Amino acid sequence: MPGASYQLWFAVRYVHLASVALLTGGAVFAAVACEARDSSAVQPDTRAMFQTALAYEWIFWSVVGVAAATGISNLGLKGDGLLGPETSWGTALSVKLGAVLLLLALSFVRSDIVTRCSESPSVDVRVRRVLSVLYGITALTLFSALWLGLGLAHGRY
Amino acid sequence: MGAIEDRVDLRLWSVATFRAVTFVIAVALSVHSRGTLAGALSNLNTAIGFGLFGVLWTTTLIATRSGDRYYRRRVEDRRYSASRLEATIVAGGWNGVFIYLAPTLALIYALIDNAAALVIATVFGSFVAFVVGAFVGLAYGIVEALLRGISDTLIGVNRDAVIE
Repeated sequence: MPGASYQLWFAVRYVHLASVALLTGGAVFAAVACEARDSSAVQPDTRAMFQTALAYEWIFWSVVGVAAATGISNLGLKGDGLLGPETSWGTALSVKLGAVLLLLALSFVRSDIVTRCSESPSVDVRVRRVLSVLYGITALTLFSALWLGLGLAHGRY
Repeated sequence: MGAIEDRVDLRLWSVATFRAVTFVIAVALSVHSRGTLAGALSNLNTAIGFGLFGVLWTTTLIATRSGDRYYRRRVEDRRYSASRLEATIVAGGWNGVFIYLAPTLALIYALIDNAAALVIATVFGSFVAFVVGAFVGLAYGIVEALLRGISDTLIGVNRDAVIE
């Protein structure tokens, strides 16, 4: 981290990790919330599920911008430690950035479904199942990105 | 009504953030694949980097809202067939102009003290920025149409039958 203070480096990394932790934990919670109401009743009330889903979507699209900005800033603070794409470290970075793009595309679809279906008086089992799976995949993708990020931060590639 | 407004706001917020963040990540991935990411980032300090991202996020939100309003006007006007792709191209064009006018014009203003040159740079530059932004908007319009198609398929709903 040439030219940057330790406090700045620490703050940027802290905010980045806290953001990703919030997104990951929230996705697991939302997946469980969707699934839990799936088998609870013959005609379950989906309002609570959509309240959780809508809250998560607001948080996701607010925090993901912060996570992206601090993530790129993290790369900048690495200075010469940022290796080229031909190295194994550079390949891991490419995979991580690609995974983030896929996560954003997945989240676009997920949010689209939540915003469209949250006003419907009745939502069938299929929508709840789809949302549960999408939140699950969101959590898995975030866990994978976290794994890659840990290796990148400690030069283990 | 309040719930509907909330829903529309979430849609606007999610689409605008999707556009701003994917743009930054895609640019970073592209620069990294050319092996010049370290050099590019060394030209930015942390505060400037955050500031530029904040400007991009804000202008994208404003441009996305303008595209959304354009789309809604088309929906209400029976003379036209509304197109989300067209609205995204318009939003991209405006975002190009906003991004050009925000930091670039400040730089030009600092370097050029001729009023006529400043006007030409503003008008001509804005036009070029609108065209470039419109092409980016076209790419986003195609990607978003594809993603909305996936969403339709997943929940088995015809989009035309749903309030947009």
